[in-house]
Amino acid sequence: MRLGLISTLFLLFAQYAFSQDLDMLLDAYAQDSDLSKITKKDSAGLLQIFTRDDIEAMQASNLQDILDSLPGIYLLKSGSNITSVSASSVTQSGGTNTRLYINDHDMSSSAFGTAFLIWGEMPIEYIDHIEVYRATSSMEFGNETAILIIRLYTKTAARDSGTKMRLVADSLGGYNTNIYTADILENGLSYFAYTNASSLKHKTYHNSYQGVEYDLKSDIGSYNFFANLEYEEWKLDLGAYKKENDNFLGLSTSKHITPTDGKLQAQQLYAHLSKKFENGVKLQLSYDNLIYDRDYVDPNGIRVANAPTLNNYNIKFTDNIFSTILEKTFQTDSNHLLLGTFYKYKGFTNDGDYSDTNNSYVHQNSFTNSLNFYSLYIEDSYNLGNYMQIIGSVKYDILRYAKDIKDQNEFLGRIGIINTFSGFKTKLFYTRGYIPLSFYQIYNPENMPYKSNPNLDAPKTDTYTASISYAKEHYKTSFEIAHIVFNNYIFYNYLSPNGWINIDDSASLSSFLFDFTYIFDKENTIKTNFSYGANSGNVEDTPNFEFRLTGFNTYQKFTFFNALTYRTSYTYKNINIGDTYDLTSAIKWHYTQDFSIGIRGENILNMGFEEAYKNLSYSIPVREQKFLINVEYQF
Amino acid sequence: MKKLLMLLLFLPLLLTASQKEYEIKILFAITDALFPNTKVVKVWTDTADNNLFLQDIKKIQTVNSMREADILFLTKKSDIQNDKMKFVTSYKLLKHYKKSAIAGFYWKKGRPNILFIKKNLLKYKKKLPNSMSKYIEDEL
Repeated sequence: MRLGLISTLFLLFAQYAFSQDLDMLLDAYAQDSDLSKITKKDSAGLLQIFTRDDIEAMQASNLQDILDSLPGIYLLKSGSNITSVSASSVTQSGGTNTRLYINDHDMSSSAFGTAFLIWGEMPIEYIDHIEVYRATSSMEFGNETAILIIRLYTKTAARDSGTKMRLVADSLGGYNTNIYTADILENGLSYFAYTNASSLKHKTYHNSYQGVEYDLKSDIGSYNFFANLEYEEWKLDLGAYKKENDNFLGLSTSKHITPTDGKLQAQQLYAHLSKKFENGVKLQLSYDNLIYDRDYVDPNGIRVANAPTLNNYNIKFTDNIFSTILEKTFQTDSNHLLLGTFYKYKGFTNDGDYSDTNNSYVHQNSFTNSLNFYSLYIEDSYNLGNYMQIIGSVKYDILRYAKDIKDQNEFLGRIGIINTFSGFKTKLFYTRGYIPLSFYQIYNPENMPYKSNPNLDAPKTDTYTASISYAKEHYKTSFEIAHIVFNNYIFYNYLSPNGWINIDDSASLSSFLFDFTYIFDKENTIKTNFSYGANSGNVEDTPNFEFRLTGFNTYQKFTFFNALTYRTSYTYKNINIGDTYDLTSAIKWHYTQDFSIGIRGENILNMGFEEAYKNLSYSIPVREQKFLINVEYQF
Repeated sequence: MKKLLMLLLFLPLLLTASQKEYEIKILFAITDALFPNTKVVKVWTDTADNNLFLQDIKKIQTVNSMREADILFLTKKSDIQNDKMKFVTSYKLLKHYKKSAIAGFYWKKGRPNILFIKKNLLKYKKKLPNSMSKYIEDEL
């Protein structure tokens, strides 16, 4: 009785006290409700989150703006104008070790094993927050394995009811315009629909060969559509993305870069249905159709495998992917057990048309294959007391191809321990995994125009990670180490009849990341990152060291974002790139709750990170100096 | 049952226990600011399932008839014609009842928002504490 009275008085007092500070309550509610708090999987790897506040303060408009902000990860542009990322000290190789998700949907192509071919520059206005997991395995996400996982979560009708328009225009002539609308209907059905058109412009560079000057263009135009329908525990995502890329350096012989025409036309359509049942069962069904259609034209010759030098090159990959994922969770006070299985069908078609200028060589080919991919996985997470969590996962992948390619059976395992005490958090993980192979690497019966090896083995990986973090009211700091060993790794050997070969040896990659964030208040923070990367081959194809200073600030109706990134010099393809300084700044004026206008500058100092390319005599900025104006209106 | 009620209120957010606590505290703070000298505030809601949740908020007593109520707590669009003071849970409803909605607590642009309409505060002779003046807007 007395206890009840005391509780009531306490509650009354607490409510009275809180009524004095609605700001504090609302802030606490907003922070506690942040979607990333619901979706993140702290046990899945070294994690970095871009919250909605971060993305909005940055005035980020496409995925490159995010990829360029990852400590210790470098945003790169391939010679054929495809976005990629690499760890410090190395360049990208293949891309199958990176996966991109939009909500629960894996965006990867089966032809190339990566999503970046199509989605690397995707506009992100419909994205609520982004999680980046490093040195992970993906077992926690019940899907195919990867070392780097980027998960994008879309906005929801529950939090974004209404209609919003955004227009971004930049000093290079590009634009990004979009609209979304969302609502919850009386019957409980909610919808979110979004559409976008964008033009990503770059400077035109030039290359001279035999007295003729050739333009090197890398513009990208795209259209994007996304819709989400939710009813009770049913959820349906529909997505479509279509884009056209210039060829940038094109394909050439080893002596010159002289493209005169050609482009990439790519598109992806997908549907993803999921249903959560009350007994902890989750079922997901999805379908993808991807088309990658590339033309290259070079009057001075395109060198390919098993054919004379070409002048016209057209290749078209078509993927059809069906996927079923079934999972069940068992939850007790101290234990969380996940049992899962998936089946994927991946159909692959390659059509090619190749010729030289005077049609003395004309060749067409067409071939198909498919993969039946079965997987079983178990993950258990056990809380030992209040401070320690032990995590163990195993996964078995069975890959069966329709023809010619050898069967693959792959085992993955992961064990880790998370300790939390007095503001400290430590994480130790060991993961045994593999690097998936894509059709592009293992299937081309003619070995023309590229070579493939149907007997290739997927390289195995041993990943060790350790991290410690400490947080107080006004600051937080962390130190992370990742060491990845690639066993039986693969290498493209031009002299080998099938190109790709396994190397019976191991190579390793190490990265170190230090972070310190000082929080003045919820609207003013300053963050520093130091990262260092090295590899067992002592190769330095990208900078070893990076330092970044980032500030998020608010003053009255203005929000500010500033980021300065310093990277050390490096040499690639005999071109030395000195120390680089990337300054990105953004200011947004929130005129009303519904209307804001902002400006953003990228590579403001024009001393930003540059990339060198084979056979090109100079380096090119990955992100050119550019100024953008950004207008947003909600009604 | 309570979870269901909360889902109806801010559907379909996945609410944790602490989020529910915050919602109760925020709604109490708003109620207390609008009715500082009233011991019991009579509230009518358009969704019967909200009654239990509202009863968790101190000072609030739910009633079955609009006429008895000091304020209407509205979570869905309907065609209520009377001039009773209204509290709403979406921006859409705030616009729909802009002549009689005094305040709203809703999600917009991914964030929770509180908004009081100035002309309706004047109309219903309500004066907020200074600490809440930043939530008052002249126009929608």
